[in-house]
Amino acid sequence: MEERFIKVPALFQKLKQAEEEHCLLYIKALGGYGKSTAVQHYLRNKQHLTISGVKGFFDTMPPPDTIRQPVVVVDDISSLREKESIEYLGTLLEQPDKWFLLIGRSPLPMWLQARLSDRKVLLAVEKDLMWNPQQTRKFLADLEVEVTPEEAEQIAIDTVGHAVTIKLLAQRMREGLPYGAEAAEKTRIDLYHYLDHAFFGQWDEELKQAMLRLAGFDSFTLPMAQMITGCGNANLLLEKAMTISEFLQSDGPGSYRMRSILREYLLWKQNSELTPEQYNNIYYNAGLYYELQGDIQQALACYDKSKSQGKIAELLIKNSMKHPGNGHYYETRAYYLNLPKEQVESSPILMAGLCMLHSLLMQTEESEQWYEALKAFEQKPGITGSQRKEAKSRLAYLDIALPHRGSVGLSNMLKHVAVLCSKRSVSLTEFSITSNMPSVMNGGKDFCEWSKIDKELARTLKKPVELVLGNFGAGLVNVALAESAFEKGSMDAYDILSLLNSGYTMADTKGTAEMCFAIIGITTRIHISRKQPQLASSLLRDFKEKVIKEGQNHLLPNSNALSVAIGLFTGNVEAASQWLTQEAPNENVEFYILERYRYLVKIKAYLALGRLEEAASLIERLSYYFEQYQRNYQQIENGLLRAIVQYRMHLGNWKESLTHALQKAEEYQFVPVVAEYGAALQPLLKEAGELDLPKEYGQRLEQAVREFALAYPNYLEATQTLTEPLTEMEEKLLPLLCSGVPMEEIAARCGITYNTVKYHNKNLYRKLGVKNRQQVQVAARQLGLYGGT
Amino acid sequence: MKWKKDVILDKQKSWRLHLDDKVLPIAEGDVYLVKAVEEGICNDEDLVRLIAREEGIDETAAAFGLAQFLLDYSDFIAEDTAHYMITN
Repeated sequence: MEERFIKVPALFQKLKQAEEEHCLLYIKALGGYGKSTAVQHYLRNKQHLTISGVKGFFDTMPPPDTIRQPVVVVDDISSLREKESIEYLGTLLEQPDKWFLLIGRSPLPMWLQARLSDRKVLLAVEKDLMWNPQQTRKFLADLEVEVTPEEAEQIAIDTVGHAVTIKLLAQRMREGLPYGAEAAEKTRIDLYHYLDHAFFGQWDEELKQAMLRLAGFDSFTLPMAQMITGCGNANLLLEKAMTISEFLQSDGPGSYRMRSILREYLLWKQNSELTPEQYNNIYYNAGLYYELQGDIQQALACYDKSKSQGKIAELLIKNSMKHPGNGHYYETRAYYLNLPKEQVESSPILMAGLCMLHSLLMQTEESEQWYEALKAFEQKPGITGSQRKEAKSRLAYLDIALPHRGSVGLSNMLKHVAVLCSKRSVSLTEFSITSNMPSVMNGGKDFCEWSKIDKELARTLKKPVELVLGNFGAGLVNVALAESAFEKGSMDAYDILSLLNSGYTMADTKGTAEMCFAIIGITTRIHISRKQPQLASSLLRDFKEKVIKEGQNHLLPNSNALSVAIGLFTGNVEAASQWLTQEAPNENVEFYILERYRYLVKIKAYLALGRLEEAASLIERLSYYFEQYQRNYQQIENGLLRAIVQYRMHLGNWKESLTHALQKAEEYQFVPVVAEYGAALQPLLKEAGELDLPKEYGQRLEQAVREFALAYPNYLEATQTLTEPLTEMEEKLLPLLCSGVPMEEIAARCGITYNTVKYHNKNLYRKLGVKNRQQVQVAARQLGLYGGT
Repeated sequence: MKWKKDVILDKQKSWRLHLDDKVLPIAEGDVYLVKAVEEGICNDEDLVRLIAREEGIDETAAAFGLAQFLLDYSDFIAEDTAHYMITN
């Protein structure tokens, strides 16, 4: 059966308009959209002359004044290269009595744009040629291929209304293949074979090789193209590609992007056109490019594709030396974890990296195994002096910084490191004390135990810490003392702020932005405790501006979380809700211990939004980590949050959670960490009555909680409330409904009829905003109206 | 540094610290420091110099050693109530 011509109204309208107005029409689209067919069909009953530039020149060039036909079609204008043909066309276009139709695959060439600058030119583009679902269905029906309107719509979408693709699909479906994954896949290959002669076959060798090499990249710059193709004249090649067709487009200044259909085709073509060595070379060169640009992730991905294990290891080592803090181990974890064992065992830096990474992933056993391996390496005979020194330095770093080892015995480790540094046996890599937290005492490690003798330690360690820790120690001791004093209430607020300000000066001038952030975090808490949340907000706002200006963007996630935390004091629940949706990390996708601060803010946000189940779930995830990694401060916070959640869910062991958290806080004499929960905690303290705490501490705590509750009476109050209160009978029915008691039994227990139960249920559903019994339990829990198991 | 008011130093078999119902043995390597405190060396700088001399290390390392000592026996050490001088 012959294909019937499918007329696409949009194009025909433009043809008609151009004819009526006697103006030039340029039809521009990728090959296979049926441009030439459509034009020939439109002109089938009209006298016209067609000339084609497909060979790069015109086969025939009749003198313009001898052409009798009123319509002239110039096809494949994008392919025209020869000077004589170009000049001929220029002369031809000057004929005023001819109507011209130009067909091409790219924007009008510059040489032609100049000639047409004072003429009206109508443009028809791809969307004027795309077949819609109705046209697709009609075409298929003509070939005795029946599809439903829904299938036709899907086909039109999947093929982007591309005529040739639809025709190829039709052939497959005529063979008996229904539309689906198999037909789509076979059609895709058929289309690639079409592109073999429609595109690839028409390119010169240099262009072919260049495009094949660039196909693997979403977008690329000119320098990247030069590096990957090895062509010094890549700019000319790219320009040529853009004039031949619109498959290559500019993606912004100096950036290019291939259309996905062409990219996919070329990636398929790589299998037959490139050897494995050539393939690996492409990605190796791309890796080099990204490495020079400092884009470690892309560089690693490319080296991985080129199977360059050596380069991956080399880059991981380089990156580790450049970023000694532990953030980048996690980002590059896939590569670390796939390194061959022998390769790791030959490098102290890689062993240390894996040791740290496993600790960050809460795989403490594996972490200790790599620590032992590194220790054994350091003691191995036959290694070079520099390798031994590197191993010793990395061991020293791990002794101080490994998260799972807590801070017990840490000062002894620092003593040992100080001895090694003085003998020049090690050079300690810099590392972040704060781990980007808004705290020093509760930063990279937990230093609650140190706060018991904070002043003594401050006097003893001030100079040594700065000597051993370098820039990362600037301001540290003053700030640590200030934070400890704030938590214990052992110093006057003025003295605390003085310490913080002096610490900030030191950190800002010769220290690190991380320390500045810790100081800002502590200072905002002081302002909040002094009932000045606006001052806290504006201080943080100014700091964020500084952070952005200085390019310290790694501090932004926790800064934004701190903003949310401050906002919760002033009832800004909307900001918390937005942050939860748009920015907060998702612990269900991956749980990462360096996100602990944001997880805790998430829990507070959940509480304020009445999302108790989610809060409970995250609390328990964190609980395990806080205990394993001896994070005392965060155990206190998490314990208090757990108590509040349990209380609101009406679960019976909230008192135990509360007592445990308060006893831990009392161990260190910490007050603000508890008091900040003010209004959220007050009902629990009231109901708990006498708690097993020393009298003096208990009284201080109670006073502080009361002050916070007065200053921030709505803190963490669930915004989700009943729009209408429940009646007495509804309150009686609710727990029975939630517990799954059958309706007849509910009626019997409540002394009412079955129909009356139904009536009350209906009202309950309305008040809870639910549609069925299953949803009732969830809603009731969320609102704290039901807490049964 | 000095011990809390009610701390008892038991030197009978092995050295131990007692305070209320808390008991903490003194590590062998710390005995010389405890003796020094008993002999009236309470100033931190003097203790640092002692550690440096005793262990053959420099004063920076010795300071960390003293810090660890303070941490290990923190429950028995009296709170420092003197005003902390803020320096840059």
